[in-house]
Amino acid sequence: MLQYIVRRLFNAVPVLIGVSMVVFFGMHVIPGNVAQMILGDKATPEAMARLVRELGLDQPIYKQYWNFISHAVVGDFGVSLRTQNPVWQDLWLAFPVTVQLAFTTLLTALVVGVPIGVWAAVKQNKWFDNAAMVGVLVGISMPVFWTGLVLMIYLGQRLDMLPISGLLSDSVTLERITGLTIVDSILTGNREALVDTLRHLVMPTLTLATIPTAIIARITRMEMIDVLKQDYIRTAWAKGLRMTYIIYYHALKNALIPVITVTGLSFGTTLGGAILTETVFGIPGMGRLAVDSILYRDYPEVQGLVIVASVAFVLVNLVVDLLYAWVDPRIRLDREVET
Amino acid sequence: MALKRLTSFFLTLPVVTALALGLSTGTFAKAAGGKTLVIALSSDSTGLDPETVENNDSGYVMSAIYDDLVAYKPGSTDVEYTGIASKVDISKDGLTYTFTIRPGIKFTDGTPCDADAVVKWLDRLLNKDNPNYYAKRPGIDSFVPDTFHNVDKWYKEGADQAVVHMTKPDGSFLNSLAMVWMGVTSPAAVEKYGLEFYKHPVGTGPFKLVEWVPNDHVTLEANKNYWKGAPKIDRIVYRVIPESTVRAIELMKGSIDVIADITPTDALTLEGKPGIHLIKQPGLMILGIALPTQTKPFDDVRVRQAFNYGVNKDTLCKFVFKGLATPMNAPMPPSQWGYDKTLPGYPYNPEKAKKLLADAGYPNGLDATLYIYPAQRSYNSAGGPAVGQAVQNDLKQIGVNLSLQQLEFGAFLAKTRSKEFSDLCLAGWSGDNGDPDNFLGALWRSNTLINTAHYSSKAFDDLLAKGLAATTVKDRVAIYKQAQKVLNDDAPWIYLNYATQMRAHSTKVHGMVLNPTAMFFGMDKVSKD
Repeated sequence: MLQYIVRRLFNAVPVLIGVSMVVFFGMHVIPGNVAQMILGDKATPEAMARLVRELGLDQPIYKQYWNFISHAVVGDFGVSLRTQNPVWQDLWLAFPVTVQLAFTTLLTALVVGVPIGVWAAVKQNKWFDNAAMVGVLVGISMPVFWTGLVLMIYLGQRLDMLPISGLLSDSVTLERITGLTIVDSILTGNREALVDTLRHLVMPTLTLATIPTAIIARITRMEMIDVLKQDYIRTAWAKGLRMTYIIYYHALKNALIPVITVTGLSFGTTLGGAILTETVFGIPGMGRLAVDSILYRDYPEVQGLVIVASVAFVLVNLVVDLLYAWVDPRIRLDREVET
Repeated sequence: MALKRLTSFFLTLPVVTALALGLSTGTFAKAAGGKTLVIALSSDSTGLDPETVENNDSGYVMSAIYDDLVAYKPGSTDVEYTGIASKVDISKDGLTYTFTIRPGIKFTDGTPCDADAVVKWLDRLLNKDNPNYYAKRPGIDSFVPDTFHNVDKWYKEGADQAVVHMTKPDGSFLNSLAMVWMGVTSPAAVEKYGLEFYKHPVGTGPFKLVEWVPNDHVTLEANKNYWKGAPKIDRIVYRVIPESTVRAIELMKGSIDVIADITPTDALTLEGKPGIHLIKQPGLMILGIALPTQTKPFDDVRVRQAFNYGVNKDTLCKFVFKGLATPMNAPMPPSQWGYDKTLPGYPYNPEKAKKLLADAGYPNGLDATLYIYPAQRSYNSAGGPAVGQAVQNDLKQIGVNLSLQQLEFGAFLAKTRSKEFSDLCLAGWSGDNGDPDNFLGALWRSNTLINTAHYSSKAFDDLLAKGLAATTVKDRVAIYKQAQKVLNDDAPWIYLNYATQMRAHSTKVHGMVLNPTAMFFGMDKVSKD
């Protein structure tokens, strides 16, 4: 198992180098002058040239890339052009915020999506199945931006049930320990902050969870329909076992592997979706940081962000692979290594 | 089994949560008491060291933290001596400025703000050998070079005076000193924090920094010992809410009190809503189209005037700008002192335009190219394409075939600011310091970067030089009125409009005055029900 993990991590290195190259060169070819962005449209050519020199942007691009990658391997992504902070410092603040949102999102997607998929399979072609699949289609099709605004207008403004934006109310203070506001409020015993941050997370979570919930429900339904046709399920029925026992104990566990795969992949989509969700809901996470940094042509910050997001994605996929073996002991990961 | 494992994993979290809450003996944070004013910003501040940043979102915060040597009169760009200096004496030759520092003022870290502190502040800005020289931090954006470019000496005189000496008179100096970007910083805090001062701002203003959570909020607390009297609110929270629609929803809900920057669409939504007050006034902004004055046929003033008469600014403002702009009659906005309201401008008159074109030798019209940028700008809320198409349509009526060329803004600036540029382009300006020279000189002085019309007039340049050399506001107003007349007659631009400046706030907020520079000056006077 350990050998497998090491091998997987080793295999991730070329992926990360590839990602860093695409982002680095991509950022340099998109239109827009970084010095102009920083100094504004009133900047003189002399001031812009000086800034370009100061930032090392006058060097050949391969040298700039080498400077970046040689420092990045030891965790030094440079200094943000926009915030003037070391990039790791900005990432350290933003990363937990997005991780927390991704976690609440995927948890919601699983808690809602799996039961819907199971019951849609059990009630195949009945009204529940049809309604659920229409709902799934709507869920997949709804743009995150629109969902967010609709929730804000109805739940936030008209019904006044939930706060509209941010992670904590202005009147609530919370000591930062991990940066995960839920965990920090628990660790500091701050009940007020816990309730407040959970209330703040409801709308962004629902917004971001719409698409993964729909996908998970659809995959679960499809797999469950296959499994429910198997002989051993028929045998279980014949033995007179309770329906819920058959569905959840015998059928669902065999339908879970693809659900885990999709959940792992949904992590990537969630990170992408966080860009819009965090911007709409004013949440200071990686997505917001990415938007601000890209608009500002803040190369170091964007590169740091993408590499951290890529590492997170690679690690989540590794965890997913490990989960396969945990969920289904018939899968032996170390065998794959031997072959 | 597998299902059990997964189920137990998902059940563990809430159980741990409940357990932690139940077992914890920690103290709960309480909502801080007193009155809090919540202001929504579209972006985070990039730094709170006034001489090293120029973006509005940072300025909005700093205007409550710092005082300047001199200040703008509330709601205008007229300079008055209500800042740190109680009096300013200008020598007859306009070269020496003597600032008498008001006694008893202290920075919020307790350091006295006296003549010594002011001289130390000047030294940090002007002495490259100063260990805390303001420009040591790379990537800064500063008004210091523009403000102090003629200054050669600065020193203390007597017990309470700071003197600035120049090599050449600069009538715009006091207006520049009143900008938020010229806040006087605590020498002790500068010494203490060095290059990190931009994260630990200390001024003499009505509020002081408590907390800055990047990309989320900045909290300021009232300076109870403020020398003008304690502020009426206890704290200001500047919340970063990037989406304009979300800012509007938050204001309607009542969870924020003020929207610093409001888009025209949201202004129309919020206007007339109960509980919301929308401030609307002509901004310190102008919009036009630069005509290539050195290139045929635009070197003929009759052609330039024909283009001005050929564009219907009234309908442009009414329909394209949805009423949020005012047609331009003079090359400076009404919010700028020295503005000449008596100038006629160029009211829409297509017949006169056709006649002028015919007189210039173009009875059948002509072809021209207009360069535009895609997005909206502060001085152009309709965006480049909408303005371009409206002008194109109007000019067609007088026989001008205008083709539009759109470039990304960076490429647009690079193209239109090159010396070789010889087409028409969108042009606009937001005033920096509220001085007439910041409009007339920046945009039309011979051979300046932003003079995209390549306009060059000796008479006009001489007036600008006289304007800077004059030492009284009265003299300067008279000179700049003459300069505006010259520009109006020479028509180097198609003069389009002045953008409307807007800010929305809850009707529970009182005493909010919108300065033409958009900064939150006078926050000590603001109260909340």
